[in-house]
Amino acid sequence: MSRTIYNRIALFRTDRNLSRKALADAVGVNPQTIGFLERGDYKPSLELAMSLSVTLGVSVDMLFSFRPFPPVADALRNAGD
Amino acid sequence: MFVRRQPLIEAMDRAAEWLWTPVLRFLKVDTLEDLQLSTGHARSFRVLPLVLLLGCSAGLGGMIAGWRITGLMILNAAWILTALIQTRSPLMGRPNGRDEREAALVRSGHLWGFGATTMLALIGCFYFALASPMPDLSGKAIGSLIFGRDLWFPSQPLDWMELALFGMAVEINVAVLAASWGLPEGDTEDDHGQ
Repeated sequence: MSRTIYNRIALFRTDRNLSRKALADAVGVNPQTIGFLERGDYKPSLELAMSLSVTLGVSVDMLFSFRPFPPVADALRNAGD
Repeated sequence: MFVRRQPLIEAMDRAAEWLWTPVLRFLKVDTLEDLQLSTGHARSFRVLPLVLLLGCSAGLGGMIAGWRITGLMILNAAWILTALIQTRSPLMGRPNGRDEREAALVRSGHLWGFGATTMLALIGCFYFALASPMPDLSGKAIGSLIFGRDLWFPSQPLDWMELALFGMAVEINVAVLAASWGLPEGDTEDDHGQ
């Protein structure tokens, strides 16, 4: 069984003002792999997922989920209410 | 340029240029560095390995059918192209080593490759059991008794070497195919920046 894993790597990477190469260097993978992860074309190992969460300064469950993350616009709208 | 004419070497040079220049142009190899491992980006080959597999099979088929030299040439040419393509495929190495995604791609590619080769070897073992001449049957093979005609059997060292080459070509081409199809369409191995 293979379940879809959604992630917010691109969102947090942009928020931290990191390029793919900088993030890749920080977690020890090739920059292309960051692109594969962000598009959901590759599921990371637990070690890589934890390295990403440490580097981006968020918990693993904020970065990865079995359910789609709500759009940022919705989160901002809810925060404004 | 030679000061004294060297007809043999000059002819070999011309033959090499005639044979290799179109091949290298097709593979977009401009410099010797392009041929080395660990340079440039991996490319997806989703069709070419199939063509090479067909070429190897045609070469082996030609050998078996009696066109020995033609079959050998086709099989060896397909093998050389296979070896070249492997160095440009997703199976290639990188200067800073493979990360876990690339290692997983190579592993799954070779799993398919070795799986296909193992299946072929198993089928080949059954075939050789049928085609092998039996001293107890006064040199006749079981297969020739069943089918009413002699079956091809590798009788010379060169036959076995070509079979080994065929097996290696199958392994590599299937691995390159599996790894290439494991990448998303359009090959996104080029996004370095943001």
